[in-house]
Amino acid sequence: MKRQKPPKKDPFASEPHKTELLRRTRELSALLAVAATATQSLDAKKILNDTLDKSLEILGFKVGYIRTLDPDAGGLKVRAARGLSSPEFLANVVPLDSRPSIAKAVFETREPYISSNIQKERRFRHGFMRKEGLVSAAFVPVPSKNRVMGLMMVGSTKFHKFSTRQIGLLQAFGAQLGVALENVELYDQVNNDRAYIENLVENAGDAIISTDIEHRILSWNRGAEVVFGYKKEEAVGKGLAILLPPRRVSELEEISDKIRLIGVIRNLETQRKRKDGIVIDAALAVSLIRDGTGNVTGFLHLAKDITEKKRYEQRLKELDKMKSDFVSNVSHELRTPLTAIKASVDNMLDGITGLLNEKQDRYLARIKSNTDRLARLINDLLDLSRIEAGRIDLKPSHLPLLQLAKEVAEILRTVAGQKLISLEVAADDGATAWADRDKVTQVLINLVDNAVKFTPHHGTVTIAVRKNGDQWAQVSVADTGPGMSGDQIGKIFDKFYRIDQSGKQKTKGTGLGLAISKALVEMHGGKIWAESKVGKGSTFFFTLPARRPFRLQAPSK
Amino acid sequence: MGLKVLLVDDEEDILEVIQDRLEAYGFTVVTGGTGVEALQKLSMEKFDGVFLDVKMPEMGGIEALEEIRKRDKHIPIIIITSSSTREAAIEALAKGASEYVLKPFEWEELKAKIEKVYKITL
Repeated sequence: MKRQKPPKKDPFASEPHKTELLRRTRELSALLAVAATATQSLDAKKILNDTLDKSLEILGFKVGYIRTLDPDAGGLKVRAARGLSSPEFLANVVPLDSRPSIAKAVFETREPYISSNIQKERRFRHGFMRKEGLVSAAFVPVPSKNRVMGLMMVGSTKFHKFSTRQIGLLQAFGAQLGVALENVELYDQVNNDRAYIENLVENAGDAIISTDIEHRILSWNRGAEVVFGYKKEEAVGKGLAILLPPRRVSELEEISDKIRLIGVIRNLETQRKRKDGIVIDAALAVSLIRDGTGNVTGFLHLAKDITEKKRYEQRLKELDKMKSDFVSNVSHELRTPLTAIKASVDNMLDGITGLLNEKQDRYLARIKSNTDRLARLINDLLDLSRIEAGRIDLKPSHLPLLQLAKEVAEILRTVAGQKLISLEVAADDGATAWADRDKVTQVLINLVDNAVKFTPHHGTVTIAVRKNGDQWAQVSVADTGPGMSGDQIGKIFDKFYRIDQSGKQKTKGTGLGLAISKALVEMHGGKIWAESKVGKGSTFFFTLPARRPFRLQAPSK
Repeated sequence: MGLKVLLVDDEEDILEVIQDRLEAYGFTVVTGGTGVEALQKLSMEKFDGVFLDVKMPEMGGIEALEEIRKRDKHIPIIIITSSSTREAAIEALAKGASEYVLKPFEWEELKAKIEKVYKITL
């Protein structure tokens, strides 16, 4: 029998074609509906349920589910299900370990899996699908741009043979769902980040305040409530001027002028008034707020209450002064009796009180020399305590170092001469230093005096002055004494460190001279050090800035 | 020499040794223990100079110095003070003291200051 040809005149007028057309229209509108939900909704649950319902409706099935990857659960978790209600199934998580399963295979291969009769397939024999009485099922992946979010299944308890078109449609639903789920994830991520930052701002211990360009308060965090005492509702909408103490009413204008000029104010220590009228010390950082096109729309103020810090600083200053006053008082109390002893002994030694015998004379000379030593010790202690308290101001000038070295040599020539030590000043290259004359003289006298002390009779002490690069002048004092070990060199600048002298003639210093010298050199920004070898003499060096430091002038506006 | 000076210090020990020394130089020395006492003696007798300590009870040396200068613009005044009060000594110069020495001092130093102030050789 010859098969009847379909009529040619209107291919879509026939019933099967009409049905086909209607169906396709329905499918397309379902897909559109899912796409619309997917793009408009950020509610994952709604998207999942809508997509599953539409898919089942269009394909004419009653049973289906969607699983997505849940890293916390460690596998694919059921997110939506229809016609599958057993609690075991709904709670089931398909692990992504080595155990094979259909869900895992679809998820990993991104390929659909179709079975017309799962009751007969071995690989379904332990699965929920068979238990639930499912006969035919199609599994499709739910892919997003770069990964797979999960999978979707639709199935039937009756035998069904899936057409290519149905599978294609199901894959399209899966793809829509993937994009939608990823959007939700991204949105959640952004929301979390935003909440995190808002939380940071809100709970920061410091006040964080944003204002518009007219200094009207736009936001006010909890820190601001604590620091300034105004509640958020009281502050927002008001002018920032509510925080200005009476003497600083023009400060907001100064701040905005400055910030327009330099972009940001990093640390401005000023004062602010709290709601209760108390004026607090505050450290401010202010920056500009710009809109998307770069126009300035307002200011961001960060304020920290530094009242306590200021109080501590003040207290520290007071304590420092107390310590300094104490040292000064103690030294006065020590000097007064010393003066009486020294002056009395001198009067006796000078014969003002009558003639002395030889022994009396020797005893008094001993008292005198030890009194002098005590006086030096007190002077050194006072010096060091003043330096350490930062109470010594340098009065720097251009120092011709050669001339200074010659002066110091003259001062100590008599002492050196007593031991027949040759005191030499080496020719220099015209080095000058930018330093305090008195302090450098003190350092140099100290070093040369030490050198003479440690150098045996007929030795040589040499003062040398030279440039050390462009920036520094260098002075050295070399002796022909016994030298020092590495260990001794390491400790020589410590307070009260004295080199053990095995010989009979011990030097009588205070043990503070080098510590003071070090402090004085370092006040100038220079360095002091020693080089020596046992038996080869010692050389002490110090550096001073060669010229006045260059200072940047503040730029004019 | 025949110069009569007033020596003021609250420390008896110091007072005596300086007095002995000044007398050895040929001065006639009258002593006082406080700024107030110094002013009293100055108003009763005529002196050729004052040696003045700074830290004293009742009236300190600086205050005494100011009072003395109100009455006598020219009388030589030498401040003798502890070197821990160097600032006070410098302040004293600004307020009209003729010279200062810091305790503990060498007699040579005091001698040099006296020679300078009185333009004499001891």
